[in-house]
Amino acid sequence: MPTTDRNDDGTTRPALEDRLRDALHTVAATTQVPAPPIDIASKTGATTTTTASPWTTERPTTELPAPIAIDAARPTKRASSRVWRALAAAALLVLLIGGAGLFGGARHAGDGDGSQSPAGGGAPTSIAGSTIPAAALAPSSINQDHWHAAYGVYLCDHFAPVLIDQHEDRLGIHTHGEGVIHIHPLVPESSGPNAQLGLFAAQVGLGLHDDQIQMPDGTTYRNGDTCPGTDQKMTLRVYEWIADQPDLPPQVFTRDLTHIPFTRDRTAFTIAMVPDGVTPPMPPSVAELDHLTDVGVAGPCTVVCEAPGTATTIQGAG
Amino acid sequence: MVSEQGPVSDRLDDGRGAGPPGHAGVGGDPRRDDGPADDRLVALYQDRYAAMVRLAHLVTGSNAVAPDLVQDAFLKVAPRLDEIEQPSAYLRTVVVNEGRAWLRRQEVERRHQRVEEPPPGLPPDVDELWTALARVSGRQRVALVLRFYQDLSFEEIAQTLECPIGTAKSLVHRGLASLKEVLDDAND
Repeated sequence: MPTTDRNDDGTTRPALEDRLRDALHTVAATTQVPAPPIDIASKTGATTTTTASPWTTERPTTELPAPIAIDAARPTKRASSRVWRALAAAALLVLLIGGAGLFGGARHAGDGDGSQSPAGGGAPTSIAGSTIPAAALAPSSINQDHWHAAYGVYLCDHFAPVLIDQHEDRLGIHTHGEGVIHIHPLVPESSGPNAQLGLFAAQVGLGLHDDQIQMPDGTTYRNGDTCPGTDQKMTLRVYEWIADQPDLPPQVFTRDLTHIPFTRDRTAFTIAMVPDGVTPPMPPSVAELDHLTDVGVAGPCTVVCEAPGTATTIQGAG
Repeated sequence: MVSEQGPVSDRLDDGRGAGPPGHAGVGGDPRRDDGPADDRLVALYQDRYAAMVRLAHLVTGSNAVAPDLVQDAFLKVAPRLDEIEQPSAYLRTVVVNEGRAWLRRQEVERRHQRVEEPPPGLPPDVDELWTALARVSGRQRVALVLRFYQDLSFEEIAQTLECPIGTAKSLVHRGLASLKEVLDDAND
């Protein structure tokens, strides 16, 4: 259990250290990482997602700049850093393409052990055959799409109760308490590659870290804690399945969990504290994905339906 | 049920450790790459860029300047990659130093009224802490970010900030005290 501070009224709250840790990870989850200036995947014939993506607005490819030796991009004065920065970016991109063959392993292809951090280790660009979907390459489409992902929090051998929103949804990532994440970005901060699991965790009050999870009631499960009644130590991992391809092995994330991107519709996430060697099941709410009726259905708006600067109104249950 | 996916990496993706196994090239530890320096630079860029942008965001409080700082950091690291034993840690140090330099330049403004860029949609408690963090001194802020975002040990913080371990402990301790004071003032 977390350490706590006591309020003036005698109630308790998580210690400042835990609150700060949560806050920093939550803010980091909102960080916008710039997209690469050119579409590398199109140059390298990279395999991208086959499902239509809200973020996969095609962009014209750009002719690559002439190769520039990386050493030439060494800055000498800060005043000229902008020029050097451009040169270095160009050089890096050329190198990326040249080295594309180094980076094998398609998503869900079962290559290697399948475990990883999101977006190819936090990389901002895509590489041929990498696990980075087109989502990470394309600009976002705000308020045009509505994806769903089943999820569940699995603790050793059972799923915890589904989570509910803890505050008003201003980003367009929320749940209705049915075990499904609804993703229809309202702002750039939640769109495209910024649509990430950490935003949902913040929305439902789930403290998601790389080595522990804190449930909304304050209960904390840490790596190394033992499953009740056993001496088996649990480890936090996030498993992502494609709901319509249940035979494919899940993608396993073990770090940078808040930045796991939502890359397609109809996925399933199991946020699991399990002993080594145990693979959790898909969340039971995956069945809900076939029973959703909220897309395009008029009805009361239960979320923030209009974000500043956006024109489309999301109607229905969200 | 599906088969277990094999060994996994539990290291944080925050500049500390190696990439996950089975993710050669992109997520692999640049330190283990025996290829040319350019390949290692690409690997480092692929592995650390996004994480470093997030770190720079937290250190400076500005998402807008973070990518520029990180780009500058990569440019500083690139020519020395052959000489660096731990590129990820070195890069983190450069990013932190770039962030601290930026904070120093903003110091006067910060003392008076530096407005953090509040990410939208933050839960109230997070919003409160993020705002309060802007009131903490730059050096303490960096120490807090390294301690509570990067989960660095005091020794690692000391190495990053190039100060004695005692100073690192003190910065974190005093940073928390300052943060609490700011929060208490805001709640009064």
